[in-house]
Amino acid sequence: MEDIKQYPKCNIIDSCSVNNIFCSEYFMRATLYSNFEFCTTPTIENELFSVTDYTYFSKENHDKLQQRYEEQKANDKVKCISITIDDLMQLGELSPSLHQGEISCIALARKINLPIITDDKKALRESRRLLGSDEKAHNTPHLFGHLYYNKVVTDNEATQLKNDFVAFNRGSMWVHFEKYINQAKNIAENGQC
Amino acid sequence: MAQRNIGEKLRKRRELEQVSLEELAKATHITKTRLIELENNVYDPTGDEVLIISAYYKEDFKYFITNQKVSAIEQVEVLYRSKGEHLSKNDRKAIFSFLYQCTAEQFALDCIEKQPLEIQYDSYANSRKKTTEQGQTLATQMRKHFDKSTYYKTRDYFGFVRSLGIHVFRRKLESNDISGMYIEHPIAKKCILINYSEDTYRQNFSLLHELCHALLDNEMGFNLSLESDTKNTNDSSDNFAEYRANHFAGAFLVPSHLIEPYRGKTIDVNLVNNLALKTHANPQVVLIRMKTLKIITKDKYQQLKKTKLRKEYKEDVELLNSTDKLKAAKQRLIEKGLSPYYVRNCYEAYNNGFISRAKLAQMFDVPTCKLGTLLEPFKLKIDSI
Repeated sequence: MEDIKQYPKCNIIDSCSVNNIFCSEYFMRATLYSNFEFCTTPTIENELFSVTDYTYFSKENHDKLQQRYEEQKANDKVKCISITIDDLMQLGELSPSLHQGEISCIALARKINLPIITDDKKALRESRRLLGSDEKAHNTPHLFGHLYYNKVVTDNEATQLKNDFVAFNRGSMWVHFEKYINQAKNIAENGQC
Repeated sequence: MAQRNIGEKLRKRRELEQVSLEELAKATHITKTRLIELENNVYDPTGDEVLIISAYYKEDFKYFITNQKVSAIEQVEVLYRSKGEHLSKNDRKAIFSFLYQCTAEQFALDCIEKQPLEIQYDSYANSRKKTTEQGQTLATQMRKHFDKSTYYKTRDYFGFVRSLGIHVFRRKLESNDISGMYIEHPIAKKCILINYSEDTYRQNFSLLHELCHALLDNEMGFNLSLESDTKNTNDSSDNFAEYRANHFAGAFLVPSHLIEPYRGKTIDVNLVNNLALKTHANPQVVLIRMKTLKIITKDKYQQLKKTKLRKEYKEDVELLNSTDKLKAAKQRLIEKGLSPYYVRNCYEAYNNGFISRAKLAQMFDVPTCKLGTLLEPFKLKIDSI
């Protein structure tokens, strides 16, 4: 498990990490309070906000998420940066294992030398491989663990976050967040991960 | 260095699918003005625009920006030029979707190292003429392997053809004219699409008809079979490839050893229907085989040719041995153009860490959040992370 004491402040976020961060007002505010900044790509924005099917993710929730995202974009906490065709070509031989959004994030990460936050294990592995280091890709539970460890998120807020995840049909994610909460508690009690 | 005739490729791809600039602009959130500029090479697209447009078309983005042969667009273009009048806009979209699934399936099978069955057969590559005897001989050769396989018991012709490494999908096409098609894809190789609007036994015939084209007629790289092609029994047909493929399909479905025992016996409607049920071929096919092998006379054939087997007796092998819930789920998949075989193999590639969740969703043409719902009847799970 990654060390929750460390987490890079500027990251590229893909669709699943945008959903996980912005579906909870608590999570989003905790990242902003800790001066985290995010970048994404037009491909990701297109994926996220071209939805027409609201049977799983209600329109109300979808609009809420989009509104939060747009607000933080207006505050310059989220930047949308394009990649070029040459950025894509720089990735070299890519297997067809990733979706276009994931490819755009890796291309951007390479271009501006920032790490990626993704909650897909294949995308995580590919990002680390293509960007040349495990430090180049992380996930949102790790980010949350870092915030919890630094007491930016309280136990009460963690519960609220869990409720938000359930409301956004992402309740199954919580088990991963709990692992990092436990890590933080272990460190606090025993001084080790 | 990226290829710079991107605009031409973008336009060609859009026109092949008969997508208007307005439709593309709405789907991709790229303005119509910008799309026109891109198609006219006024500007190069951004990397994101290439990715967004390729996601919309379900094409490998490398097709647009390199010279790599990763798409069957050239064959499709020739196909549409020769037979495009039979294809509605939705059918054109369906064909591109089918080609995408073939490449996705090939990738998944390569990841999980599923090897095709290797079968020796005579391709008649050096023959000057196409003859019905070639179709018959090929059917005998292929049938030997089928009879020894696990697919024989249930007459799972689709499973058998897939085991040869050929990608097979069914889709409800709008055009009733089309019974099936075959395309040789540069990456996925042999790909067969069958019109799901036809009845199950007819689909079996169409599948085997296309199999013959895939094995013997791949000089063009594609074939589109119309209903009239697969019903052609005219000896003096100009199109011997179609006639040979019909002979192959008939001989494969109804091999001579199954009907020879009835030579000299009374052939009636009941017998014909029983043989149809046994072979999963329509009574017409059984009768044509009997006439070809002179087990019945032409007069007898005329007398019996209107024999029909009721649709409810024609089981779809892909739906057999399933609970009602699973049967309904499989049926939904097939109607959507997927197949249980495709779903299982793509899932296995995902579960073994070869593809991402978002990629799997794209392969199934569903939003990522709906993957769980699609897979649940098969008792397959998606990780939340």
